[in-house]
Parts: sequence; C-alpha cells; structure tokens
Amino acid sequence: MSQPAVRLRGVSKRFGDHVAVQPLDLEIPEGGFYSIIGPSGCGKTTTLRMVAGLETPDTGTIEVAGRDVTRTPAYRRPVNTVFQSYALFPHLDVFENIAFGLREEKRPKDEVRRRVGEMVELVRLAGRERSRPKQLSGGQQQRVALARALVKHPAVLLLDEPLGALDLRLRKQLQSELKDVQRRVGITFAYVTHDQEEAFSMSDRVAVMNEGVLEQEGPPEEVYRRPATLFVAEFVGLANRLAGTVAGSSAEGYAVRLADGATAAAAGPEGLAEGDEVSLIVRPENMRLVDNGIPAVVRSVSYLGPSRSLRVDTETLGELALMIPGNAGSVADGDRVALAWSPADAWLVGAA
Amino acid sequence: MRIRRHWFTGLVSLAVIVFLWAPLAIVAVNSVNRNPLLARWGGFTTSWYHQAINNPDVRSGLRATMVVAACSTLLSLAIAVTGCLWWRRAGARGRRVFDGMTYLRIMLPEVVFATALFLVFTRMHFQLGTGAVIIGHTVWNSAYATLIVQARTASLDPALEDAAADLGANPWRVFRRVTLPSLFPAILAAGLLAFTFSFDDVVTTYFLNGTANPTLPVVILSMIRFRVSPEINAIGILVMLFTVTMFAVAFLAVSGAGWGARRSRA
Repeated sequence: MSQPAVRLRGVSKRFGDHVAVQPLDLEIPEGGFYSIIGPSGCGKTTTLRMVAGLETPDTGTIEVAGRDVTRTPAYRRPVNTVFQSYALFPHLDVFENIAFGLREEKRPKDEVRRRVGEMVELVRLAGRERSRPKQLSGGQQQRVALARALVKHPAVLLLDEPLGALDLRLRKQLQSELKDVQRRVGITFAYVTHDQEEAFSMSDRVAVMNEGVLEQEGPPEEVYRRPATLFVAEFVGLANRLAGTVAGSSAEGYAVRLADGATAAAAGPEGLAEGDEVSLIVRPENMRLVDNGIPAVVRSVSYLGPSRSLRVDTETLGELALMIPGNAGSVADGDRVALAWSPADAWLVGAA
Repeated sequence: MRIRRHWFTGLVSLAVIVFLWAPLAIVAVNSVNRNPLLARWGGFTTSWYHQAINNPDVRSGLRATMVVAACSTLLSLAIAVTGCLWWRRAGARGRRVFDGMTYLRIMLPEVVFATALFLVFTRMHFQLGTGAVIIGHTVWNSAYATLIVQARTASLDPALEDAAADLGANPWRVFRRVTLPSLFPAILAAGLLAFTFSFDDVVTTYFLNGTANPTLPVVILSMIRFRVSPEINAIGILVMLFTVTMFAVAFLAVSGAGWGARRSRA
C-alpha cells in the first residue's frame, strides 16, 4: 500500500500549438477506484493514454507500480485499457477477443481457457463465447472490453469514458457493476469521464482537470464540499456563488462582507487575508426556507419527486437556486419567502 | 405515375444487347459445333475443347500467363498494402502526391507505359522477357490494387491497433493479428482483380515479352492472324469462364462484410 499504482511527475503533452496537458503531478493510490474528471478537451484522456503508452509525454516521468515506464512501449506496460469505442476486434469472437492478450503472452491452452472462462463468468457473458462483437448489445460489448483488459491482471486498469455510448439506465446499472467488479478483483481502476455524478458514485478519489491543469484532487465529498477553485465548485455540481470580501478571520473561519453589506460567516481554505476578493459558495440543497431570513420572490419551481428545485430572486444577492425536500409543503411562483443557510455549509474560494 | 417508354429507347437497348451478347453467344455455340467451317450447325461436339487443351502453344501460353499474373499480383499487393499503410499516417501533401501517382498509372494509356518501359529496358540492356512483362503489368495493377485496399484502410479504426498494442502485441503482431485480418477482404478482392487484368493483357505483354514464351492472349492473337480455327472459340469460352469466376469471387469478397471472419490461431 505504500507506493502508488501510478505516479506522474511533471508530465506534459502538446499537439502542435495546443497544450493538452500542462506539467502535471498526480498519484493514483493502489487498489482503489480513481477518477479523472473534467470537460471535454481538458486533457484527461491524453493523460490516460500517456499512462497506457499510447501517447509519449513531452516532459516528465511516469511510474507504474514503482517502475519507471516513461520509455516503455505500450505492449510492455503492466496496464490495460477499456476504450471508449470498446475497440473489440470484429474478426474475432467473444472468447478470442478476451483471450487476445493471453495469447500474446503465449500462455498454455488450458490456462487461456480457464482464465477466459473466469472472466466470462465475472462479466456474466456465459453462453456468448462464440458470438461476434456486432451480434452483442452495447452493454454486452462493454463487458467484453472490460473482460479483455482485466484478464491480463494489470497493475492498473485504465477506463476511458467506457459508458459514454450507453443510454442512461444501462449506464446506471453498469456503474454499480463496475464498482462491484473493482471491489472483487482488487485491481486499481483509473477512470476518465466528463460526468461528475458518475465519477462520484463510484470513486474513492477524484481528480478534476481543466484546460490541461489539475485543479483539485481528493475524496469526492471533499471536492464537493471544499472546492479549491471556482471552476471545481461549478463543475462538480450546482453552486450559488456570492461575491464578497474577507472582513476578518478567526480560528473558526472567516467573516465575509457580501454585496448587500451584511457580514456572513463561512469556512474556507487557509491563507485568505482581510480584503481578499472571494466567492462564497453555497450548494442549493444547503439553502433553506425559513421564517426570518433573506427576503426573496420565487420565480420558478420544478417538482423532481424526492425534491423541489426552486429559483428565487433576491434584492441584494441576485438570483439563487434552492433544492428543498419534495414533501416540504407547496411553494408556488410569485410566493414571498425568506431563506438562510448555516455557516458550516458556506465555503470560500478565491475570486477568479 | 408510370414512365412511358419511347420506341427509340427500346430500339437502342435491343441493339446494345444484340451487339454485346450475340458475339458471345455465337462463340459459345460454335465452340461445340462439329462443322469445321462453322458455316452452319453440324452437330454437338467437345472435340474443339480437347484440341484446345492439348495444343502445346496454348499450354505454354497458359503457363506463361499464370506465372506473369501470379508474380505481378503478388508484387502489386505488396506495393498496395505497404503504400496504403504509409498513406494512413502521411500528411495532407504526402497523401495528395500518393493519390496523384496512383491515378496517373490508371489514367495514362497503357501504350504510353509500354513504350516507355520498352525504351528504358532496351537502353539499360535489361533483357526483355517474362521479368519485364511482370514489371510492366505491375505498373498499372498496383494502382488498381491500391485503390481497393485504400478504401478499406481509410475506414480502419486506429483504436483497434491501439487496443492490440495495449494488450501486449508488438508492432509486427499488431499488423499480423489486427491490421492484416481487417484488410483481408480488400486484399483478396484486389488480388483477384489484378490477376484477371494481368491474365487478359495484350498490349504491355506484346511490347515487353521479347523472345520469351508468349502469354495466352498473345497466342490467341497470333492464332487468329492466319485463320479462325474453331478451337479459338473453345479457348475463348474457357478464358471467359475463368475471368467471370474470378470477378464474382472478388465481388463477393468486397460486398460480404463478414468475410475473413475466421477464428484466429495465435
């Protein structure tokens, strides 16, 4: 457990004039489910492909399981990949697709049969061994791609948006299957996706990238509750963002002067000084309707079942979003309400 | 609404059918006609076929044709496949030059290439003969083969090769186990087409054959120069059957997407 499964040091990559990844330091701990998330073009797939050996970094070193693999070609690296398009070999059946990597290792026939058999069981494809990839559904193809990579027992399994092409229901189902498979085999999963909800639901840790830069790294809850930057705050969920200035700090946190002149208490990262411009972040679900608070007028209400999503206008703080329990009594457009949040749910990030 | 046919279009269609197919039909009928003058129907016989098959000139011609066609096909495929693999990774300008050179070999008249090669070979004191003919055929055959293989190469998903490398296949194994099987239908079709074109060729062969054993089309040409023997009809039908079969297989190979989908043996 001491050494990380993957360690990147100062790794960067450019394609022509476009910088895909800025010098990047990243450690993926062994044995867990690790996600790299970010909008398209943020460098997450390029990072994954550099770990796989399918792209060569311009600078920096890559270690896998403690071994420097920066100059090692893809076919000699102890990592395997599940590709976004699955990349199943159309001229081979399911069995031979899964057996491909073992045949390259020149494993004895009975070992190949046994290990492929185990994988077919693990991904619940028994009986489909002789089917061609194009005879399978999208979900089944995805499972073949997973089995084909896992059968080699890689030090790290790399997954490049493997659920991107599937419909929502299937995606949800496969998310829990993936998490389940990861727990059972105990192999480190490095997962790339643009879908933060998907990443949060499966991952032990997530890394958020934007424009080739690692913005934050940590457990999902920390990233969600204590975002390091405005970008992270808004990428990982809805955020109410109130501009203000730091008015003072104490052991408990900071005091912030908001646009309406009032002072609010909030937690924040260390190192903010009095007078710093900041954004105060409050998640919609942490905004409550109260009897005595900031006055607001309801502009729209959407009923979502378990919750209600509200948009309200305030006089001094602009438009805000709220998420209240679905059974919390009815609210209608035009209602006058008052809202509040607890200082523990307010978090400061430096203004962009 | 139904489109009314004009009598003229009907007449043109009829004329096309008659002029295209009537000679073939006559050849087919006469190939089994017992009357040696072929002036009228003299009863059924297969003796012209026997004669054709046993004619030493035809036999040596067929042998020469097979050697030339096989060698030229293999050379053309090697050029086409390596060329297409290069083309895949080439830049825009490299691709334009490559495409231009391919089209040029198809568009320029065969006589031009044949004459040019004849002049170059004689100046270089390169012996005219079977080797020269093979080179001559490969000039245009490799271009046709390239066009067919290129179409398949363009639609080849590079992720497949990434996946093979990721699973531990070195570059040669990637080519052997993924690239080549994916291109296989196109390679088969290109090969059959090239073989057929080479099998048929007169012009290039005539220019470059020198004193070597002439190929079958050249043999046929010299046979009809003196007199039209009924045997010619039998040879014609045999060649036609062979060619049609080759084209049919090539066509099936290209259209049948599932072709080449056999179990791999590592």
